[in-house]
Amino acid sequence: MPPPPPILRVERLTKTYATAAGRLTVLHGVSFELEAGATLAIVGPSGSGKTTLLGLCAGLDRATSGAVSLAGEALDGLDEDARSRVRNQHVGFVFQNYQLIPTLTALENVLVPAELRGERRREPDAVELLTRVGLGARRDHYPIQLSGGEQQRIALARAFMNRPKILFCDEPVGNLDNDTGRSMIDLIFSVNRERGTTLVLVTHDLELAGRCQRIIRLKGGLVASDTAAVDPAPPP
Amino acid sequence: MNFVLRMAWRDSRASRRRLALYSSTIVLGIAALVGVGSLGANLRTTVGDQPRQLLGADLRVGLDNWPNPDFQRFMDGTGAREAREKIFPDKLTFGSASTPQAVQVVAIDGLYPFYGDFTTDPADGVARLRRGERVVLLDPTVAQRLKVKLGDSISIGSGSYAVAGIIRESPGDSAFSLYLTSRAYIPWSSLPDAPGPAHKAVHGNYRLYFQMPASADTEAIAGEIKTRFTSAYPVVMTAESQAKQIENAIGAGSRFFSMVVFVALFLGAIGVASTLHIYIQERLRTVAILRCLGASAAKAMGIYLCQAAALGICGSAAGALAGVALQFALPRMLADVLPFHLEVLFAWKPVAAGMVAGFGLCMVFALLPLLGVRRASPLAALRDDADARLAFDPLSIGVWALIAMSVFGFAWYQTRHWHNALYYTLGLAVAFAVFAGAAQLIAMAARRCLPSWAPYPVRQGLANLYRPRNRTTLLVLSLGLGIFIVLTVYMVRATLLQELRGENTPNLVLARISDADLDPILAEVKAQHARILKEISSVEVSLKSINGKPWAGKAAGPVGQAGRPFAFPNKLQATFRDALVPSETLIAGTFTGHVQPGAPVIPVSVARWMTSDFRGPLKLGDEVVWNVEGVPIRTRVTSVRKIDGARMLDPNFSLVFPVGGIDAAPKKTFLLIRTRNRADSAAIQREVSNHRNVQAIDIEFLIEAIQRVLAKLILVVDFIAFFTIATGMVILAATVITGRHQRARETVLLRVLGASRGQLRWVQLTEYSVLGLLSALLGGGLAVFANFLVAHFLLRLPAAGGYGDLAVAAIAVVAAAVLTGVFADRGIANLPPLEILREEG
Repeated sequence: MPPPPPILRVERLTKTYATAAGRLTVLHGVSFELEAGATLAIVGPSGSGKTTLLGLCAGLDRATSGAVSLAGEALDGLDEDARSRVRNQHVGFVFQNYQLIPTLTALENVLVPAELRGERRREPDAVELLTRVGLGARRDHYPIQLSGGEQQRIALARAFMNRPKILFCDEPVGNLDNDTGRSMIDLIFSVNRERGTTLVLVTHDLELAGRCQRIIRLKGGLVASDTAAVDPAPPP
Repeated sequence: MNFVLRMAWRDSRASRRRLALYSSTIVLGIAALVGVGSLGANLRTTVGDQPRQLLGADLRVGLDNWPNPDFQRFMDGTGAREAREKIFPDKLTFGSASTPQAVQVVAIDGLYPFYGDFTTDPADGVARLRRGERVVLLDPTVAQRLKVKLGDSISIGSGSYAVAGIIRESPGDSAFSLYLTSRAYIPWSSLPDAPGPAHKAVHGNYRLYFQMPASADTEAIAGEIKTRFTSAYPVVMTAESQAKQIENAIGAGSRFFSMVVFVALFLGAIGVASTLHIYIQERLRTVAILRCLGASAAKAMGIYLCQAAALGICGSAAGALAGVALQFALPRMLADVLPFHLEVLFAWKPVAAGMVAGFGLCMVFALLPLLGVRRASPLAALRDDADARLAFDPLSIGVWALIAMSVFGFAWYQTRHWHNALYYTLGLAVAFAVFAGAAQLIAMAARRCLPSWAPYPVRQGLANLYRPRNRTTLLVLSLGLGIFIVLTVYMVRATLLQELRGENTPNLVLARISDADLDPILAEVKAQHARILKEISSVEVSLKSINGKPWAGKAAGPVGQAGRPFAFPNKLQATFRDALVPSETLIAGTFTGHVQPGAPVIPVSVARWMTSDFRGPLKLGDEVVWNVEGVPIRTRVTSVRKIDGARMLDPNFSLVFPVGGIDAAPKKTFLLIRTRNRADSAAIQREVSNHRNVQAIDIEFLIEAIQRVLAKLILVVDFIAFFTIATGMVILAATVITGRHQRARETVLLRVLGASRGQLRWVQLTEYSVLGLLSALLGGGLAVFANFLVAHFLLRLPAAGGYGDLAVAAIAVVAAAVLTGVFADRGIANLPPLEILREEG
């Protein structure tokens, strides 16, 4: 039986920006594949191209050259709206700054991905997810009324609302204190495992990266190493 | 409800007040548009409902001479009831010491008016006149000038009359126009040789009023009068045709003012675009998140398009409501000017038109900032620096084209002439480009010339003129344009009044002085040390033959606007002089100023209307014989002049002879005089009253009347300009409140760094006062320029300053800008820093 196709395939990805000082290449021909259900950490120092790589993998930006295939769809051939559809169908996000919509309540924020797909009556699912992240009672609160940790948990609930095949997390605990961050990480891995989602995590926290099955180290826009983690995340 | 609508509703939750504020920028423009449109509609309805009341009859026929028997028989055959007026100029005196007043005497006979109100104070004045008592009814101005009371005896010509009432209402007159006219109504029976057609001792015009039987076809009868009695040159007016003329005039006025107030709406729409731009900038992060979560560009744009639409609907509805309220205010303001009681009814068409125009323009302008949503990158959710990268969107060219088409469409809807619409669109574009360009220069100058020696708060305030998200262009545009409109009107008025009151402007005109009367009058003028500024001779001539063919005096061309067939007049007033006057422009041939007395053929100059270019019978080079007091004078048309009627006190002559041509012919002289004071003027007028046919026109009274007219006109223009300036203030408040968050953050940071409240206040004061001052100076400067253009090219007068108005406007606008800005910014300095910093986190 042939192996299942990878959920994410990155081939010779290069990203160059035009700056006042000239052209700046932040990624140089990065390639890798990720099978469904795997967990991957992308680590590296500031400016190494981690976030750029994440953005390209998720179809948030266009590569200067190279190709990205996500859930079987070649992103570089798609226009902006088609990539939005791919994100809505297959991708969940957790950002460092939570990125909740400030004018929506917690419940409404979680519902957005479903509503974008035109799905009705998904409120029970959203409430279940909120309960799962421990915020069932805060469903009608606005982001400004919640702490950073609570906002990030809402963001996690939202990320799983459309049953994504892959979850992209960009420094998910970068803005949280240690204790809150630790419990947040536990929650991410726990929900991820429950739902069988592929996880791509960008971080400069090596301890956190160590909980993933695989670690890609970037340096100066190049893949410095691509290794299996020594001690992947234990069950919570 | 689909996602876009649901999201638009949810996303607006925290911003509804702000969105309402944005919508308020178009409220005043729509209100003005609806108000003006509704007033026009109500005026048209009222005129359409009471045409007979405006004319006082079904049919009016104006004649230069007493109607011939054929005409009388024709009208008798129609079964119409008749009333008549004879109108002639005369002098009116009260007591031996008073200055004679030139008036239009109206002798009335019959039951005119058949419709409408003719009322006096006291009420029995009209009845006494109709009974034939030897009484006079006076227009209010005449009564005021003479200081007469009821029952006083006044003299008109050689007869005396008892004052029986002051006119309060007469058909076709407004309370306001009664103060501009100088009429004295007397009974027909008091005319010399009255009753009957023989009273030719007094030369005047006749107006015959007819009440037609219900079965009569008044329009057909009017048409028959025009064609059958052409030689009598009747001026025929039916109630319906007059109503139509008035309706057309109202329509034109309404369309003109609609196009002026559209500027306020246009400004408001720019306000919407500007405030929405700031709003959308703040929402780009939300857009980026939505794009990350899978929203298409169309969906993301749809959310804010829905909000803009809601904003437009709210603004249009509020504007329409305010406009309907204005419907009730405007007629009160114009009550004195209208010749009828205006019935205020709800007119849905202008309300709908105003709402559609407001909503449409709001949406079109909203597209400009909304394009930013279309291009917003989802990457902004990931990277803070991504949100600023809003690339140029080629669709914005299409939106600008749409804006131009909207303005063009509105102007076309108002005028129905594509070229007028095009000029209006281009004019508006140029005006806005001038103001926007000047604002950009101001911002650039502030950046380049920021005074390093100035205290920090002043420098910070000045820096606000050019920093990102500055309001310089928007506010200079909105405030400056309003000031420009107001000041231009004030300065043009000052120019006119300067001309009227200048030392070289006559304050007394003596007209129709015969050769026999001239010497004693000149002696009196000299005795009173008055200066004769101009002496103009007028000779009555009639056309005898053209190129040897006798002139039959037939009508030429189609029926003119006044209901009279276009015909060359029987008699013309000609003059002789050696040069053109400033109101004339030579358009063909060569003007000849002198000729040897006794020359066989005299070169003459004719007005353009007399030539074949303008349906007249003459052309350059024609040999024309004129009858000058019974003597045939051979002339040749050697030049054609265009006469500009804009100059007020220069009498225009269509036919001009050279000096030496007809100098010896019996003539009437006009003297334009400047007296030292009112007493000298009164003394000359008393002398003139001894000469029956000489008319004295006291220009001081004319100036007062003109001032009253200007005051009313200025009131209307002020009213319109108010909407433009008020829109500017609303935009100022809206932009200040919109940028409040950013302002709060800066203020908090300044406070954290140690700025005192006083320093923060100085920053505000500097910014708003500089904005107000620059707007006033720019608007005022352009008004000075516009006044110069109007004065030089249109009025042909030296432009007057009106700099006092400029100073007052500058102070008022600075004060208003500072108050509005500080009010909208209030409380920012008191916000707890932590609250702001936490929001930022």
